[in-house]
Amino acid sequence: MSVELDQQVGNSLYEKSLDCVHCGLCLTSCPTYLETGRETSSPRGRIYLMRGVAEGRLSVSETLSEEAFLCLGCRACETACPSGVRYGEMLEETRALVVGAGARRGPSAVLERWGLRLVASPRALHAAVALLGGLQRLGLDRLGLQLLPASLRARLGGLVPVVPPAAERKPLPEWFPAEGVRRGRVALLSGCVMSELFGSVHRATLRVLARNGFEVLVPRTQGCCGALHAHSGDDARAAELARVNLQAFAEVDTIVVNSAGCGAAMRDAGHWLPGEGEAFAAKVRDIAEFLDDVGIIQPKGRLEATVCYDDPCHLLHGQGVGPAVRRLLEAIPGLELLAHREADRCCGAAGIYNLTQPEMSAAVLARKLDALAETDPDIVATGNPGCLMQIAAGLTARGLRARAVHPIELLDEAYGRADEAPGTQPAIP
Amino acid sequence: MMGQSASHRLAGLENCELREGTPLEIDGLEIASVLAPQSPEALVDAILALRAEGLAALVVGGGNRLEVGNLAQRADVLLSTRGLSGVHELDADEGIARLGAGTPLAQARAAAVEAGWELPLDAPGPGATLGGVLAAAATGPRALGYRQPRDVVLGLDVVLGSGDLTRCGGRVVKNVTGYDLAKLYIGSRGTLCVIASAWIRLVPSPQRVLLLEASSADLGAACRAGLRASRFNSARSCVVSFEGDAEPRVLVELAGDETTVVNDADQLHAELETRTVEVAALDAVRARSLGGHRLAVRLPLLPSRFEAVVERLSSHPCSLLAYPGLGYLHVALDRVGDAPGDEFGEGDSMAPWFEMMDEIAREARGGYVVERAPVDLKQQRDVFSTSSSPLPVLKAIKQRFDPDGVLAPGRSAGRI
Amino acid sequence: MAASPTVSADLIAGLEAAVGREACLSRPDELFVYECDALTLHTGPPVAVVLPQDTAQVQRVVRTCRAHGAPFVPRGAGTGLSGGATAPDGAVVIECSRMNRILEVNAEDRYAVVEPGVVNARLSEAVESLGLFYAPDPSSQQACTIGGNIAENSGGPHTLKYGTTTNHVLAVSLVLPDGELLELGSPCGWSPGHDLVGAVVGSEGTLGVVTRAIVRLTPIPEQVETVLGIFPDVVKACRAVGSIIRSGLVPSALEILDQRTIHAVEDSVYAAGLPRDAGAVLIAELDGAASALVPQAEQVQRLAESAGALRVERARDAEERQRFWKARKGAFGAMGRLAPDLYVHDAVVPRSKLPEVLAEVCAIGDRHGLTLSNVFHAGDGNLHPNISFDRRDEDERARVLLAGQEILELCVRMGGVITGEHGVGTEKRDFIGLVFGESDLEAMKHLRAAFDPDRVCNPGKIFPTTRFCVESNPHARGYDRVPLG
Repeated sequence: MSVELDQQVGNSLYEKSLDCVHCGLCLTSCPTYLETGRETSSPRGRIYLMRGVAEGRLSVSETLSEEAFLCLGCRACETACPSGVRYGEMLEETRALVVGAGARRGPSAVLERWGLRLVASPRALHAAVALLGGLQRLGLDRLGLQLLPASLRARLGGLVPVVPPAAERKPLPEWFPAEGVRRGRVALLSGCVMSELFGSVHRATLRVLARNGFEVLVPRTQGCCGALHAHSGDDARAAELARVNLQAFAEVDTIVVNSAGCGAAMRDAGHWLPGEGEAFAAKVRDIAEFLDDVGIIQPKGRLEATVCYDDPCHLLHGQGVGPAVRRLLEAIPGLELLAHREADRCCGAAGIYNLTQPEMSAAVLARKLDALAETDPDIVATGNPGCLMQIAAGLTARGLRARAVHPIELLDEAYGRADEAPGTQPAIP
Repeated sequence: MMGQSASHRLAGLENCELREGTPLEIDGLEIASVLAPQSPEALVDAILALRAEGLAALVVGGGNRLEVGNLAQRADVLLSTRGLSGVHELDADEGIARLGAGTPLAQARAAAVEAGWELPLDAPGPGATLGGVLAAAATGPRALGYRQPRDVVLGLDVVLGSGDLTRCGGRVVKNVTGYDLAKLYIGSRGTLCVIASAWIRLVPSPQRVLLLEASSADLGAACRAGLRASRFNSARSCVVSFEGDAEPRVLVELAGDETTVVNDADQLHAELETRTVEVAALDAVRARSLGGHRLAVRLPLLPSRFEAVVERLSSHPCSLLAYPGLGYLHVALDRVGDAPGDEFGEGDSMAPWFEMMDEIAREARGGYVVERAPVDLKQQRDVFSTSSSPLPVLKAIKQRFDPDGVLAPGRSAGRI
Repeated sequence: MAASPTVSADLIAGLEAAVGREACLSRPDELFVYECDALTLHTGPPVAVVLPQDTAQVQRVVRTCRAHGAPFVPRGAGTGLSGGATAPDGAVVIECSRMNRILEVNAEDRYAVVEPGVVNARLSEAVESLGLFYAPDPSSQQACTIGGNIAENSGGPHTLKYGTTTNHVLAVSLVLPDGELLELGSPCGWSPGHDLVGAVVGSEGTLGVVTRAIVRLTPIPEQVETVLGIFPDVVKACRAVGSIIRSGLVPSALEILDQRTIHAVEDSVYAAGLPRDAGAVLIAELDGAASALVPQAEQVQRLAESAGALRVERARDAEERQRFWKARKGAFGAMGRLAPDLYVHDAVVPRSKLPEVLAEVCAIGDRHGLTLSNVFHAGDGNLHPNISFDRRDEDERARVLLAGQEILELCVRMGGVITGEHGVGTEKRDFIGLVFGESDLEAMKHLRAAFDPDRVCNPGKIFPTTRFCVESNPHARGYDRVPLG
């Protein structure tokens, strides 16, 4: 399996690996290390493998190939690392190396190629989701699952989300007006999966922004952020998709994102598009972070419930946003925020990891569900589509009563409840 | 008894006193010769000479703890550390002292006080020496504040049974250079080596020392009060004594900074209705409880077990001294029951009593040491209730450190 | 990196039978990451790594190794800094990370029964709600394991008041090199015969494999005060430490960070708002009864000021204190920002000698043109001079090693020792002769031989490979030893 090392990638990996002094403080932040206890499955071990390859002491070997994709890419290790190792970048470069070397094989690789093609094409994705929705309504989805090869069936079962009604999957308006005193103008990333499966979150985001005095642009020309491609080692495609969005959002100063994974990837755009990508990245704000910065307008409606907030890795570790979301939730009258001990640990969704590494994903999720079962909240809030699907599936499978929602939906609900006269909730076409 | 030539050889050792006097009886052995080397080098020579002559020695400091241990297989001389005394160094800036093993504890304590510090070791009896306290790992009543002897020693110079003068640890307060052999030597009761000198970490002199006493109508309440009192910030000692039909007494020594001691005393007074007594009462109670009895046992216990164990033992005519915070109990007795045949040590009358002790120890996941017993009892049983598991290692250690059995062969756990 | 050709397939098969195939690593590229611990200067890949689940599996592994003549090396999290977990010469690594259960917590009697792979900080977290904690707190406590701590007798900032690991271990279960299981100590401190628990703690995994331990739990202090002394230079900060020790106060921690260290941590995720303009910062922590702390903190403040502090601050709340400690404990890792490699030194000197030793340590760094920073447990006299370097620069690497040796010699000359908490391992085995003579090492070998007569358990650690230090070094035998006739 030995291949010639791309010199440029090798150099880049090598330079980045020098930041690591092998102290090991990252070990227990890593979900896969906690599960396996293997140094090979730890951030420090993976960096050591990468360095070994970059130094020419190792070939792009079996272990590196496995580990590069067993890693969830949650980047919790970056939050633990005192030395500032850019692990996320190193991981993507390594995955590209492995893919380039043809060392990525098996059903997971097939699934990944499929999925990545789908999300990059809005039309294909829309059609696929519509088809799935149709099957679900006819009750034929389980049957459809039976037609798949066993290896894929095992991975997909339980995780397939319920497709929302067509009204929620309609394209968002290109422009949405501010309410009350106008405070500014922002753009919203509609993305790929979010639009298809979490249209209600988008609509809640529009209403919340409007309520806070912001008019919102939703450029039609935008597309997938490229996060999944980058995470899978397809840097070229990621750069292509980033360029599309760079143009689509050229006219605005702030791009609000309500999907943690997309936000983190867009903030890394400079990595694929040096120069122009960095300027683009500087415009990106997570919705909670944005509202926290500008000062949130206190909702008057009450939500009497307990909630556990679960940090999406790409928000906490990828973008350093954590307390802002908690402040947002605490701003909602009546809502009681409960701490749970695995809040900052990956849920195992990690893009399409739950499909490509179902066993490890389930093990990682189980740890979180144990903690949630202990705390037993009414609601689990998390701001990333993958996490929402994963946690929702986990809660159902475990028989826990909590429902999984996006934090912005709770804020939207609180605003909505304050509106005494029905119908004042602005309708979104 | 050693032969003429051996005696001659020992008498000729340089810088080493040999005294022949009234034979001292220890565990049925009569030992008339006392060998007292005056320097570590003379100690080396003495041990090499003993080794060459095939003789065995019992190491003696103040002589307070000589009774503890299994019967020696052989003992031809007493090897006294009295000549190895002196305060070799005392760094008043950081409270570190290097003391000769034969230094009387009282002298060491006075030197520390003069330098503005305190020696964190309790004397097990009059004339106790530093080396003796360390060799016996003699835990005194104040170990709650002082901690154990193993915790205050920074380094040791010792002469092994092989005759090698060796050092472990050092004078600094934190040290992981090589094995922590000091732990092995402390409490080895002169069976592996003779301690020549020790580096000790002194502790700041307390601003205030107070001894409080509380009486308790019943045993359970006294145990609970003792445990509660042990957990105060400034509690340096807490002893609960049960003697005959007298009311159980709880003695609490508080030591430390003025504010903490006064606050703790106030709170103890409120909770346990204590009264302040003379500080000297602590050592007096201890001496009375332990002294004179024919059988004495030290029983380590978890704090939560005290109440039940004390209740159980109190149905026997024994005197009990409990350290609930430190986790051990002294049991001293002269007879096992009140009937005429219950005098201690006659026939098999002790068997049921030891069965009870074994059961208590098993429940406590530990064991016990018979610290004082008549010779015939010592002949019957290992005074350390030793499990078999570490025996091969203990034997191998003895073999390596004292290959010819110069140092009290048979005295250690497992009669090694 | 290729596995030694002498590795027998039988050995691997035996290990797989002992722990299961999934728990036995033997591919060369898997073994590659086990070639070193946190000391990257010394490497050597094992022939296999096993991840046992319990004591019985460890016993099977050890017996299998013996049957095939393979030495073995117990390993915790591999955060050790003296090469204690490297496994050269055909050794098998016994990785204890999966033996990570807390088996029992007894709050009333204040102890916990743990497996060796329990992460240090997890134990304190697990017992916090009971008002207890596990006192030894090495800087790597977020990752390092109790088993590793026992091997190295690990310390930490709060050693000053609470003692090191050896003061907190009540009992261990030890798998001997012949596969037999030895139970030593008990929760109530019972240990017949000699204190073998004390001998095993700090033996760097050379006497057997610890598969279970009973450790003491300590009550969380009623209140904590953290005083921050800001000094123009590290020498003045050291003087303050001297006067605090002399005053009879017993702080729970006295830590010094120099300016280079402050900058490195303030640039990292562990930034705590330490003043960048300070030449050195002294973190003094006091704990105990609330009423006593205020006067003590005031006394520390006065002593710091008279030693030359520019100003003295106090941590406002528990959160700020936590930040200071995270910054302190992340300091080593943060040095990775200064250069690709870091050599973390560890030596101890008498505390009264700290000012002159620190001045000389800095001079050694300057003389060799090296980037040297100091972050250390000043209250214990435990120095950590950290030298940042680039191992690709042969000349610099040579200067780093030379400076390291000079620092050790200096510390020994001042009455100190070559390691206070990291252990000797492979790193300092050839320097142990600076402190101990032949007969001292011989005594240690007696202990080793009683447990591991064939030296198959973590071989190549602690004991010198050469005789050079003892024979030729004028400072050998260290300090003012009693002259031998």
